[in-house]
Order: sequence, then structure tokens, then C-alpha cells
Amino acid sequence: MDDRLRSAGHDARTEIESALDTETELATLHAAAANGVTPNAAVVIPPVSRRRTPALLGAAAAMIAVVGGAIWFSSSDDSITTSAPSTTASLSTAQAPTTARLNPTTPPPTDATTPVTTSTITSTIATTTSTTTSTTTTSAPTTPTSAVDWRELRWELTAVGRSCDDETEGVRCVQVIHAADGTMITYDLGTNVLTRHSTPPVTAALPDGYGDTSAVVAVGPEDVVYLQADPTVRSEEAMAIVAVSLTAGDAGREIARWDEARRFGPTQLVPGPDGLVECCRGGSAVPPPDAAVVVPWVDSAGLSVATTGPAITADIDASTVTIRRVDIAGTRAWAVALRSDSTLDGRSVRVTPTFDGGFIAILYDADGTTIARGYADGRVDRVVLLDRSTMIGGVEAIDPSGRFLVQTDAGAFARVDPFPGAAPTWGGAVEVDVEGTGAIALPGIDEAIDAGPTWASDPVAFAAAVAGEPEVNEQRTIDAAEQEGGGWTVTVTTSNLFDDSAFATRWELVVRRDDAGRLRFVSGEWTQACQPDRGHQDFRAELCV
Amino acid sequence: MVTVVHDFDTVFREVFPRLVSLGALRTGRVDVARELAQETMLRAHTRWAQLSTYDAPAAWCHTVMSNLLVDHHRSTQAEQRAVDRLGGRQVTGDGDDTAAGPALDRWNELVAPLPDHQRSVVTLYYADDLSVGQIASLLGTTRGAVKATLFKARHVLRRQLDAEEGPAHG
Repeated sequence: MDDRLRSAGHDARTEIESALDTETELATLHAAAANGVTPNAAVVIPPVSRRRTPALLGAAAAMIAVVGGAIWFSSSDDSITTSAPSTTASLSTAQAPTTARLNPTTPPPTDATTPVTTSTITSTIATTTSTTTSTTTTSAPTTPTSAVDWRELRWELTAVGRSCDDETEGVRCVQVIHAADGTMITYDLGTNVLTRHSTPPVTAALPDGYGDTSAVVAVGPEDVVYLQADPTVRSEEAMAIVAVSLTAGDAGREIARWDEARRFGPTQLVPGPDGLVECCRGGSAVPPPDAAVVVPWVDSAGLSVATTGPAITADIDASTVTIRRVDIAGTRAWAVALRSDSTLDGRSVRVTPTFDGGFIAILYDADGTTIARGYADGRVDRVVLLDRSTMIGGVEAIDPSGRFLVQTDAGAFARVDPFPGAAPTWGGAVEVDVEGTGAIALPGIDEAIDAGPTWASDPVAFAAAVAGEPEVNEQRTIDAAEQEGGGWTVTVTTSNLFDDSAFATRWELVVRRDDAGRLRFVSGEWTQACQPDRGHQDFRAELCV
Repeated sequence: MVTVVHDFDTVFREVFPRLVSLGALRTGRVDVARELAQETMLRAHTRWAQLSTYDAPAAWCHTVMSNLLVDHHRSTQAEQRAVDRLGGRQVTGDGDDTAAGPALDRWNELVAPLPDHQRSVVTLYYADDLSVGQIASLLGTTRGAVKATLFKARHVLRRQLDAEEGPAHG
């Protein structure tokens, strides 16, 4: 059937194009332009001041060899390279025989005032920022240069396979999405298997009744996944949203259902603080926190819950996307300049808060798929991906560690780190007693905190800064749990290590605010889980074999 | 960096036929597609000093054309609703489509049972060879929504093709 449809479509295109008198059409246009009138004025065309419409990136890639877009900054040898990631940092953590000292392979700036010099892929204008309730606005230059192929960036294949139903290549494949803590969730549309890629993983086979067009819409709090599914009574207008548990021992249980909540049309459902909200008409790329909730987040009992993580909003005007982040550290804002002819609208932007207090966004604009990355110190990095290299929309998911996943033909997703070494981190040496208690020490961190770095105001950003950036092959999750009596326990899990012995490492850091409101390190514990047949599979402070 | 300055006429000759064919497949009418493509290229012409330095000015043209198709579709729907209230005719396909040929007729026949949104998705997928992700980006929706639309359309199209094959395989 597919071949017949393609053949019919191609035949019709050929017929139409061959019948056109392009030279006459061109002459008509020149005449109209010279007279200052619109040709064929009888066509029903709304005024130019109509709504801003979604970006088209793909058509050019499919149509013409000249593709590309803009990159708003100069490239550099060290940042735009494809190289096997070093295994120094995390592997030494897991395997060092005694007290291990971790030295990040790419020392990042240690505070907000340090200019970034290691990554010249960036073009940033750092502005003033404070660690609490701040507003940081960063402009970006708009001088276009060349787009890049994602393969020119730092990347590695993930352990997550991307298979497709043989008959529906590109339609029923594996879908991937990240939870707020960075956990990867996949949904195999061919087998209806939902998987949480934790250590150990959790899987659930979903019922056929969800239909051929079921798909993950979002991951909410408490390991509850929200999918679109066939409604109880089939409808051509809408699909149902179902909340499914992905908690170990309970995985696959349908917690709640909202029939016809996902209506077809120009809007979509996106995550908000209290649940899924409709998005996005006009210039709002991410709806405000008070947007009407269509599907509330629920816990395993079906009771409404709210997220406690950072809230992101994004607004678009003619020249700028303004992204605001509100979290425990305060409010930050970044202004990402658009080109003057941008066709971006709210439905063409996806934004995810990052662990380091910033954001990562995909902008599907007319001149390319732009990955924008904002940092807590006010910088903004951007790169435009070559359309053919991403197949536009081939950017499958964005990761709160600041990376993104793309589809590949290699049977697995690839994780791409567009700006390695750019996030503000501590950069000091972590000492781990791997042959004893697993205790973690951070010598010298108090002096660094005294300098007022951006990461010392948010427990997740604190942990991200201490742990350093993960290598591009590694999956990183960070979860902060507030303790009774004050303080937080922050769990940093790094898996998919390039190590044949250890599979994953975990740090549990306890932090507490001092009188000045800055977070201080109280204690930390290291554990690890081993590769199959190489020792314990749970997290313990024991070496693997 | 070397900036390539594109010549408008060259880009027009390359882009215009494609805009028309894709517009015709989405609207079912060559005349409407021609007019929308002309409008698109006129807008490009008025700002060519800027567009000519882009790596891919064709991408800009496709975006504008897509926007005009969406707007045209909405205005046609509004007109149809008004006509319906008066118990009138069908708006789509009611024009003087003198440039239509047998291949377009065949395409129109195939996609005739589909609602307009499904028709657009099917056209982009099968005639323009765009991926699901590309279509999602183009239409400003999610990949899941595109997949849903495509699946619904495929069910209809399969029934239609099976019905056509029925007598032949009789």
C-alpha cells in the first residue's frame, strides 16, 4: 500500500510540475513586484499580521541540496569534535582501589563571573546575576554562519535500542522521553512495552486496547507515565489520556483515564506544574504556571499531586524567545534572539530545565533546528543542526543533563552533547573511600561556596556541580528529597558507564543551607552496581569484580 | 566565512514548481496552489536582500507556503461552514482547475475520503517523503499526533485500495 501511495503522489507531483510554465510565472511575479501589487489577488489570504505559524524545517531538506541555517557563534576545534569520550571521571570513581581523586577532564568555570574560554562554540554575553531571586537576561548575536551535522558534535550511541515495526518504518518505532530527574522512559510502539531505564530497569506490557496510535505524552511525578490511547468510545476527534504506573511491582497498572482529553488540532498537551495543559497558541511556547489543567498529575492512588521541580515558561515575540525558570534558587530569565524573519511560534519550541539551573531548548525555526542552552550564570549557547543530519524532528528527546537524543540507523538512539564542558561546575577533587565505607569528602568546597557560585543555591544544581558533567555515553539522573528538619538528600546516579565491571555509580549527598542561604555539604556516600556476572547488582559500597 | 548570495530567479525556478505541486496535492487544486506559491515568492522577492544571504532561502519559502496553506484551509473551512448553514455547495474543488491532470485526479480520488488534516499529513508523508518528525515540525504538532493521524488515514486508504482491488482479484 505504501508503495502505491508514494507512486501516486510522485506521479501527481511530476504531472503538476511538468505542466507549469515557470518562466511565465516568474515574469508575472516580476511584473507584480514592479507594480507593487500582489499577484493573483483574488486568492483568499489573510493579512500578513496573522498569527505566527509553525516553523518548516523539513521541506527544504527534502527538496534542495542547499540546506542549513545559522549558528550564532564561532566554532572551535575542542568543542565541535567527534571523539570517544574519556572515561576518567566516573570510572575512577567506581574503580579506584583506594581513595580516588576525581579530576574532571574538562575543567569548567567555577563561578558565575568566570568567562568561558574552553568552549568557543559558545557565543555568550554574561550579565549580572545573583544566586537568589535574580533575573538574568542574555542577548545573543544574530550573525549567521553554517549549520552543523550532529555527528560533528560529541556523541555516543545509547544502550536504548530504536527498532521499528517492519511495515511502518518511521511510524511505530521506539519512543523515548526523559522524566524530570533524567530517567529515560521508552515506549516500544510495536510491542506496547513501556520501560523505565533505571537500575534495575522496570518494564510493563501495556494492553492492546490502548490502540495502534498510543504514545507517551509525558512523565509525571512518582513514576507515573501519561499516554495517549484510544478512548473508550472511538472518536475521530480526540484520544484518551491514561496514567500508568511505572513503579516496580506495580508497573503497567492503569491508575486513571481521561477520555477525549487529547484533542486533535493545533494545540498539544504539555507538562505544567500541576498536570498536562493545552499548548500553545500564539507566542506562548510553554504555558504559564496558572494555565488550565486538562489532566492533573496523580499519584499511585489516583490523587492529585504537583511537581516540586523547576517551572519553565517561554514566550515568543518578533525577535526573541524569553525563557524564564523559577526554582528554589529564584527566578532566572534568558532572552534568545531570533533572526528577523523567524517563523517560530509557540508550538515550535520545546524547553526542559537542566540540572545546573539552566535550560535546554529545541527551536524548530525556518532556518534550522536550533539547540539553545542557557546556564545559571546567564550565558546562552546555541547551535543549528543541519536539517539533513537530524531529519528535522529527528531530535527525539532532550535531557536535563543538557544533551539531546537523535534517531540513528544503527538500531539505537544516539546521545549528543552539543556544549561539553560549558556548564558551571565545582571542578574540585572528590575523595571517595571506595574500599571502606564509601564516604565522600569534598575538600575545599566550602571555599568555593564562599565565592557565591550559582550552583550553591539549589540542591540539584549543587549535586550536578559536584558530580561534574557526565560523559556523553552516560545516563545521569539527579533526585533531591527534602529531609525533615531541613536539608536535602540528593541522589546522583550515573549509568551506562564505559566500564566492563561497574554498571552504575550512585552518590547520595546531604546538603543544608547556612545562615547566608548558601548550601553546604554535610556528608556523602558512594555506592555502585556491577555489570552482570561482575558482582552485586544492587547499589552497595563494594567494589565489583 | 564565505557568504553565498543566491540569485532570486534561480531560486524561483527551483522552488516554485515544488511549492505548486505540494500545494496542489494538499488542496486538490492547482490554481489555488499556483496563487499561494506566487504569493509566497512575492513575499520572498520583497525581502530578497536579506534572504539571498541565507544558506537555504528555500526553507523560508516553504515555511511561508505552509503557513498560507494552513490559512487557506481555515478560510475555506469558514466559507464551507457558512455555505453549509445556507444548505449550499461544497467549497473545496469548486474552482476552475484547468491545470489538473489524470495523476492529480487519481491522487484526489485516493485521498478524497480523508478529512483535510489527514490529507495534509498523508501528502507530506507519501508525496513529499517527509518523516513523521519532519511533519510534526512542519505542522507544529507532536510526533504522536502525526502518527495518530497517519494511522487513521492508513486505515481508510487501505480500505479504499482493497475495494479497488476487489473486482480485479475477484
